[in-house]
Amino acid sequence: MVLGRVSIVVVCASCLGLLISCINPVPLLRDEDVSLLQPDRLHPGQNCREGYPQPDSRFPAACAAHSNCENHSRLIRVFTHTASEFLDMGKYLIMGAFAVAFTKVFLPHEVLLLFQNSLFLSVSAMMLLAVLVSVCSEADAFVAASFVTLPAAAKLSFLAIGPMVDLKLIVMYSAVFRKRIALALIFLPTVLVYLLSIILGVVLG
Amino acid sequence: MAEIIKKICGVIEGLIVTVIGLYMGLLVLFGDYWRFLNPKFKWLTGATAVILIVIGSVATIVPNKRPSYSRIIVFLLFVRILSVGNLEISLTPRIHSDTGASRLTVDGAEYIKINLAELYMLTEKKEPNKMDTHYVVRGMVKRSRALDDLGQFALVRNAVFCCLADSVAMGFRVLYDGSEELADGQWVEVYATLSALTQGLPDPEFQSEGLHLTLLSESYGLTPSKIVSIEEPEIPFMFDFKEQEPYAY
Repeated sequence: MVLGRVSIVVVCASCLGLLISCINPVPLLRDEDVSLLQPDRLHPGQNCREGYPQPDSRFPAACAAHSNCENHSRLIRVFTHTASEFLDMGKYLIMGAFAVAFTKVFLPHEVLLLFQNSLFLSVSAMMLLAVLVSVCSEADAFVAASFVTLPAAAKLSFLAIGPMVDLKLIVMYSAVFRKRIALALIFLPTVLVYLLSIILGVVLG
Repeated sequence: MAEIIKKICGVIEGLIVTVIGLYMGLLVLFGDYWRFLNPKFKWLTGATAVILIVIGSVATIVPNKRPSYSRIIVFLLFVRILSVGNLEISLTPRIHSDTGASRLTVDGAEYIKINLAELYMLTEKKEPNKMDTHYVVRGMVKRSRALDDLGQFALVRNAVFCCLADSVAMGFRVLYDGSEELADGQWVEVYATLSALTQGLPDPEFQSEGLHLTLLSESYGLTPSKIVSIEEPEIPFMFDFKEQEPYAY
C-alpha cells in the first residue's frame, strides 16, 4: 500500500512537472498574482517610492497592493502585504472549508457500500470521497482502513488523490492559477490516480 | 465619502486579522484547544497567533487603501462562527498526562496501561509476544444487535491525529457474554488479553452513531478478565500515540 501510494504520487507529480515546465513561468498565475512574485515588473523604470498615480491596467491588484506603500518602510509594507495575502488566501480556504463541512455532515457513508462489488465504481467513489471530505494526510490511512469491505485499490486511490485534489485546493487553485493550469492541476492527477489504481487493482487482484 | 468607506474597510481588514490572532492566542493559552486540534500543534498555533496579531495591528494602523469587500464579508462570517464556538477560558490546564506507573497489578496479574489506538497499532505489527500480554484499556461501549448475538460488544475511543474533523474512533471487539449488562455509550476499563478472531465483523461497516468513522480490528479481539465501569473522562479523546512503554494510556 505504501509503495503503491508513493508510486502513484511520484508519477502524478512528474507528469505535472513535465507539463508545467513546458510553459513560460509568468502565465502560470492569474494576472493579479504576478506582482507578488515580481513586483519590479509592474512599472518598468518605476518603483514604490515614486508612487503609483495611474494604476497599471495589466496588473490592477498589484497596484492596489502597492498603493498604500508610499512613505512607509519596507517592514511596514511586508506586514500590510502579509495581512492582505492572509485575507486573500483565507477567503478561499474558508469557502472550501464550509463546503467540506457541509459534505461531512450530510454525506451518508453507507452510499459507498453500494459500489463495493465493482472495482471501477469503488475506486471512483473513494476518490470522490477523498475530494469531498478533504481528510488530513496524517489521518487518511485510518479513515481508508475503516472501509473494510472495499477493495485495496479503492483505498489506495483515496490515499493518493486526497493530498493532491480536494475541495479546498480546487477553490484555491482556481483563485491563484490561470484557468488552464488550474484544470491541469485538478484533472491530470485525477485521471492518473484513477487509471493507475485500476491497473494496480487488476494486476494485484 | 467613498474614500472614507474604503478607509473604514481597510481598518476592518486589519482588525479581522488581529481578532483571529487574539482568538488563536487565547485558545492556546487558556481555551479548550483540544476540542479543535491535537495539542501537539499548540506551538504552531501560538506562533501563528503572534504573527497575526503583529501584522493585524500594523494593517489596522496603516490600512489597505483598496480593501476587498468580498473577503471582509467571508471573514466577518467566519468570526461570527468563531463566536458561536463558545470559547471556554480556563486558567488551569485541563489535559493531564498520566504520570503514574506504566503497569498495574490486579488479582496477581500485571497489566500494561495502553490506549486503544496504541493497542490497535501494536496488533498491526508482527510481534510474537503480544498475545500473552495483559493489557488495560479504557473506552466507550458500543453495541449492535449483530454483536450482541455473538456475545460481543465494541470498545471504542476517538483518536485525534490532526484535528477533530479527521478523527477516527478506534477499538476492538470485546468477547463478553454479559454485554447486555452494559449500556451503549457507557465508559469502561477493560482488563484483557488479545485473542485472534476467527469471525469477521458481523456489521462490515460498523459505524457508531455520533462518531465520524469507526475502525475496529478485524484480526484481534479482547478477552476480558475484568470490566470496571468508569466515569467518562473530562477529555475523552486520544491525542498521544506511543509505540513502546510507557504508553500514553
